[in-house]
Amino acid sequence: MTQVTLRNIRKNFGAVRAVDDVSLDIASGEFVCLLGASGCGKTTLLRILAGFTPPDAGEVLVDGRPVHMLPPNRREVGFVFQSYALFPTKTVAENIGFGLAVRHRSASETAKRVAELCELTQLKGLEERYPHEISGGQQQRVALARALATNPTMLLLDEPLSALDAKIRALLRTEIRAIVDRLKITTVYVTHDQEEALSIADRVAVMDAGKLLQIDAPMDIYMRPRQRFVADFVGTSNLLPGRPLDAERVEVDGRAIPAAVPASLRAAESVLVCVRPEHIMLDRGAASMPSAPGRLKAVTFAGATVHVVIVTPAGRELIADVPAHEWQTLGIRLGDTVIWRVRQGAPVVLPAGGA
Amino acid sequence: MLRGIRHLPAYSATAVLGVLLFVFIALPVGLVLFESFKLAGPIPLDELAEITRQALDKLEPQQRERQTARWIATLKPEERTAAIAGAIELMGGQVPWDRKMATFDEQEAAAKKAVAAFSAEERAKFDAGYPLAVATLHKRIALAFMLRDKLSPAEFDQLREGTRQGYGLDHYTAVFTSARLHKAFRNSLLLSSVVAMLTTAIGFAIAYGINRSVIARPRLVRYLTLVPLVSPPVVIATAAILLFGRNGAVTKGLLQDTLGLIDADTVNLYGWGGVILAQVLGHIPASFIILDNVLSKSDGRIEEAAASQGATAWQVFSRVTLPMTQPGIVRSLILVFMLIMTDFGNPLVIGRDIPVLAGILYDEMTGFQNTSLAAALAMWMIVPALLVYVAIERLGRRKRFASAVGAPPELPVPAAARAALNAVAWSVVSLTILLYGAIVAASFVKIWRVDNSFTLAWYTNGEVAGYVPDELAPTLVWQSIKVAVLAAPFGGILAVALAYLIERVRPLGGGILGFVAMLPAILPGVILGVGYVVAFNLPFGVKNLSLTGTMWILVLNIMFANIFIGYLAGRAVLQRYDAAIDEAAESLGASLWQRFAWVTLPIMRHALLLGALYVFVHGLTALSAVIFLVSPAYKLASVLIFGSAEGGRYGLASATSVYILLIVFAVMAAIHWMERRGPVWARVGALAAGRT
Repeated sequence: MTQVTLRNIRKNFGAVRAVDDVSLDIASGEFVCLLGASGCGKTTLLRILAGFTPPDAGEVLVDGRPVHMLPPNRREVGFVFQSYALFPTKTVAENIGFGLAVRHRSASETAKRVAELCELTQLKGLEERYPHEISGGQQQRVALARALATNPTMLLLDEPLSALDAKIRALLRTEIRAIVDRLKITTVYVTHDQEEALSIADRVAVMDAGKLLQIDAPMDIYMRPRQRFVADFVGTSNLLPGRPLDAERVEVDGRAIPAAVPASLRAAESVLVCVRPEHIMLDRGAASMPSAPGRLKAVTFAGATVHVVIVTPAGRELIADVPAHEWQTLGIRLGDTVIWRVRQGAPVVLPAGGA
Repeated sequence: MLRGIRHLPAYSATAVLGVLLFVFIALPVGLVLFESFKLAGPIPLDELAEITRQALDKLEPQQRERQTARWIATLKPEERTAAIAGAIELMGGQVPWDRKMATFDEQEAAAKKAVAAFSAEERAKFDAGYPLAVATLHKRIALAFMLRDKLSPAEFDQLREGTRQGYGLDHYTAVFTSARLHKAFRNSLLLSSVVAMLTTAIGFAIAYGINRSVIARPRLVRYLTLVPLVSPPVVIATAAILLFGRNGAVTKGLLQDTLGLIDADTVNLYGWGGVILAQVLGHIPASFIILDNVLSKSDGRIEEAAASQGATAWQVFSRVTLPMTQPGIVRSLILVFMLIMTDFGNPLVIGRDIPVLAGILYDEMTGFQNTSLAAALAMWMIVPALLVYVAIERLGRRKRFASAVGAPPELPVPAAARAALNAVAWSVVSLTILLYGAIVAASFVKIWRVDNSFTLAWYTNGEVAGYVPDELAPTLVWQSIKVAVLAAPFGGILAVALAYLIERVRPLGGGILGFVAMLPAILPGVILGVGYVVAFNLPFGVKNLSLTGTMWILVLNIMFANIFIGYLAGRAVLQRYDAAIDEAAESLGASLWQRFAWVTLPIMRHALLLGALYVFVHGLTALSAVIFLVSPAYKLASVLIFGSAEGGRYGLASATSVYILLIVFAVMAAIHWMERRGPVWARVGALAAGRT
């Protein structure tokens, strides 16, 4: 059931289009990630949801009621800031209980709720500390507990983990997801880290230059990008310009590559074929269709996989990932000629123009 | 060993700087403290007689005989009676008559009787001691001048005055025992508290309004708010008298003569109201800079977090913004309190009927040369603020809200609050414009509101209605410029060199050097001023080293009292850059001097300029220290402004102020144009935190 609806939201900062006609439906209890490079408008969109930034146009509906004219203190959202924004003059417990205190809840009720949240976010024993006396990861937990204390209808997180080191980031990511699942709260999470987005969200919304490009389940975003930017931004891609031959094949540099061409692009003059590095397979031996020859230009060993760069006779560079155990059996060296082919059904065909 | 050689140049440089800082900062401050315990008291008779006897021994025996004989012969009757009493005391006897209540005739008769009553033995003893008693009691001064070449200056003074130095807390307790000082102390405390609170409230309102983008024309408001920071002394008090005094343009001109509302002779700003007005307006910049700094650096996301938690605008302000700004508010309160405690300019010009401690210090120092009492009073001025400061540091958990420099919150400010903040800010700005306008106007008329005809005389030869003042604006402005121009570059270079040594070379004792350099920032100018008088009147007892009465004591004082700005700016710059830059240069073969000149100085150019500019501006505007150091031979414009304003010569005070303001603005504009990196004075201010 749809709980939050964004309808044709626009926001300009001077000449900059921070949010450009974005519409989005979020279901109750759903976890949505807004993914994009810095400056793509994802944080602005989140701040519009929270009520900090009024949109220039469009509306925000929560449970069917328009809320975009309400100030933040009447929105009932929990917001976790990138800088945590903990109250430096207040203890951990006072920080978490702040929302209840301003609602004039009784001290005993507040204390009970604070204790619950400290339990939930593993902050027990730190209640009387001040923010500067606890670690970054703990500050992040306090920010999360504070946002959840008033039982908001929506939890909004603005790059909450970007100030932490990699290990704590992975741990807290899992924890946040677990807490959100337990509370069944609708969550919007802003990040520029694709791995984070793909691993945590029910659906990922990719943004660029203020536009919402694609919103899909993480697997679909990776496997079935619908725009060049999405294919390029999420994961590594070989983007090859080509011409559709029929429903099953695209011609690239005079060779046919097996790829399902969507009906809308079959008549197109030119398209882009997106081939992920792990979908290119290498072999030695004679080149025959649908395989093609190439010369091995660079090899980087990266543990489980080996990243290689091949140059095709047309001068195009292709990136391929080969599992390390296969690479050993192949026995090829820099400068050797190899043959490569594309895994059947794996490439995605995209429109050529645009971002 | 190798390490030692590598660091030899650095350590030598540190040693040189250390000696300079010790001689020109630590020594004067220490001597003030020492001086404040000094008491001058009479030397007991028997010791004084011994001193006199030793002096007499320095005369040729013949000359001594003749001299004492002549002294005894020329004594007046009452002197003779006192000498007889002295001789009896020196013999160890009791003076057998009443020396206090009895008339001279009675005493004289009693003395004769006592001498006649002596036994032969006693009589011989008395005759032997009598000449010494005569010399000790009546002829020491003559003796001292007779022996001037054979006595050291200290011996000369002791013999001549018959007093000597003692030590005690008398000057400190005087604040409680003397009714005059006690009243002044109470006035000072009350005035400082009231002004500190009002100033901080207004400073907060303006800083908050500007940081929340609530105030119209924020840049203009900011600049005009800061103008008093770079103004010469007592401008505001003077302007306030021109507008609101007994013959003020507003009080007399508008309210009494035009509207007939008040009687300006009774309703005017003299007294508490006027002093408070002048002090508040003059010190808003200090408060504003501190609070602006705190508010602009606080992370607006924190307030947004409170709002998204359901807090209303008032709840966000009272529960989050105020507590977070609290350290800044406390700093502003303490700083303004201390500045008002030590400021004598405005109270002396506008509130002579309300004696304050600083005013009494000024009188004691300049009128009575009572340096010891002045020194003790100077200590009393900083004690209350220091006590409060220490108490806060000790009691409260040390709160440091280091937050990422963030954008201000995007929360709307309620309409009523917007209106109130604008009203406060624009009242201050309008009043500032009005007051400075009055100064400019008064500088171009013969006698304000008495003879309003146009004249340029105050700017030139000072001749108005046939009267020519002893001191002219152009002469003293020129003298001020000379002092400031001499002090500025050296002060700037010294400051950045010190910052470089402490931050990069990190010599042993560097921390102490830094502390000494910062002393003038913490201590009021009067202390350093009094200290220079004590220290350099007769440095180490050598007359030829005496600096008082020269231009150089002014240059040195202005330089060392203000190097802390360049030092702080220099350290701030260096802390932003990786120390490896310096090491890279060193590994490429650069010597200490080359590293400083080629690598560090270009990085620190800003700090150097800022430091030099601050010294320069202070050289033109400072009053509190230099007023004790100027001499008939070398005076400064700021002292002329104060003297003229106090003496009611407002035209001269105004014209000199306009000169100074024009020069300060011109120099700042020039540097601004050179740098094109934001308003220089805002940065001067941010570091100065509003010292006067």
